[in-house]
Amino acid sequence: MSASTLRIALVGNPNCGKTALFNQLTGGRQKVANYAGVTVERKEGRFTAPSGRVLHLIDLPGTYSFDATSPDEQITRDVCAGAYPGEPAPDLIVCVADATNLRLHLRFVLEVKRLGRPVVLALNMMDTARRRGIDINVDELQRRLGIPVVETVAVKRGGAKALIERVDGAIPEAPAALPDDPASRADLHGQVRELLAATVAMPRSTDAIDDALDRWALHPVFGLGILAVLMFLIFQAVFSWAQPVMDAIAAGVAALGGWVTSALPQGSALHSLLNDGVFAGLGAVLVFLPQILILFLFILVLEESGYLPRAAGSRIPPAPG
Amino acid sequence: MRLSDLPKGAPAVVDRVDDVLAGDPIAQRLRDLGFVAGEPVRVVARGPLGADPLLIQIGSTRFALRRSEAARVTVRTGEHVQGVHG
Repeated sequence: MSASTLRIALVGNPNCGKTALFNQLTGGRQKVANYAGVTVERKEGRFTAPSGRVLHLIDLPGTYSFDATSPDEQITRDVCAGAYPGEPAPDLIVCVADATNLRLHLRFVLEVKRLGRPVVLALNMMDTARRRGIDINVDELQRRLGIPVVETVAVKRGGAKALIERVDGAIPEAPAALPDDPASRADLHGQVRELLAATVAMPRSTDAIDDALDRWALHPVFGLGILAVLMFLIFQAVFSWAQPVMDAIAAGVAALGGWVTSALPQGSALHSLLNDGVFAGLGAVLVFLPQILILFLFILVLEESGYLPRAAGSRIPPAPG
Repeated sequence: MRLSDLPKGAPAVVDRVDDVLAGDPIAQRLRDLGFVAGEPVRVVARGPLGADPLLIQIGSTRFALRRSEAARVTVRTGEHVQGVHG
């Protein structure tokens, strides 16, 4: 094992696939804790690069802007700038951006670049971008940004290969640090527009299928109806689908208890302990497992399909104070 | 016209975001999210009760905003905005 370890911070907008990338890189070797005094999750992991170098990865909270409005955004900013107490500055920042939504995400990339630290841009969800016909000139983007740009697909095995190769190589030269003042912040959108015009060809702004589904899912009347029907179906499924499995588990545990304790004398303390205590208790807990599994299956489907935020009517977080 | 009054589906472009109070953090956040002059914007859907919240599409990104938040954004409508909607 090489002595040199490299500290890498992953940053990006919320929903850019940053955490999926972190999971793909570090696998099970993660440590989850909290930043001192706040309920902001601190995720750290490490992996060994092909060269044998150990890379320390830290997954920072998703952030729209360094003009922080919440504790997690503050932490992201401070860690990136090397200003967080007890947290050494990262040797390299990997800025993750959703390739299908560069208009929003590139602005943050420019903000990160202004810190004046070595940055690599990972264009994530490149497969979705291609499928939607979004054509990104990566070489030109790299040239204009002045930082290395790699393509990743965080949800595919091997989708982070280009990123691993890049961070395993020499640390890229840091871009020039620029002051953070309101005037230059306002200019970032203009720079994003220029970059997009020069490097990205987009056939249309959204997915046609999404639009069609949203017309129904977000309708003031039908939307509520769809939500009610879905919730009723889930409720029904949790109870009716689980029933046969629950009956089987209850009968199975009781039979197992009967078989194990059959050798013991009826009415003895040990017989009672095993039969009425251990096996009855085990059965009472296990019997709920099917319901829990079915419920979580539905929650997973709702979450992954993107229906949940539509049902919740999510909004930007309220500003403090 | 305010974004909160924009009819559903009508194409418009952002004109400006107003600070309701000095150094308004919500207005600043809206600008960070891309509500800046010249960006195409439209109302995709409205909430069932009192048309709150509003689902706003700016570029290819969607945000759900409360009416009070959307009211900070002034938009322009009319024929001259048709061209910017792809």
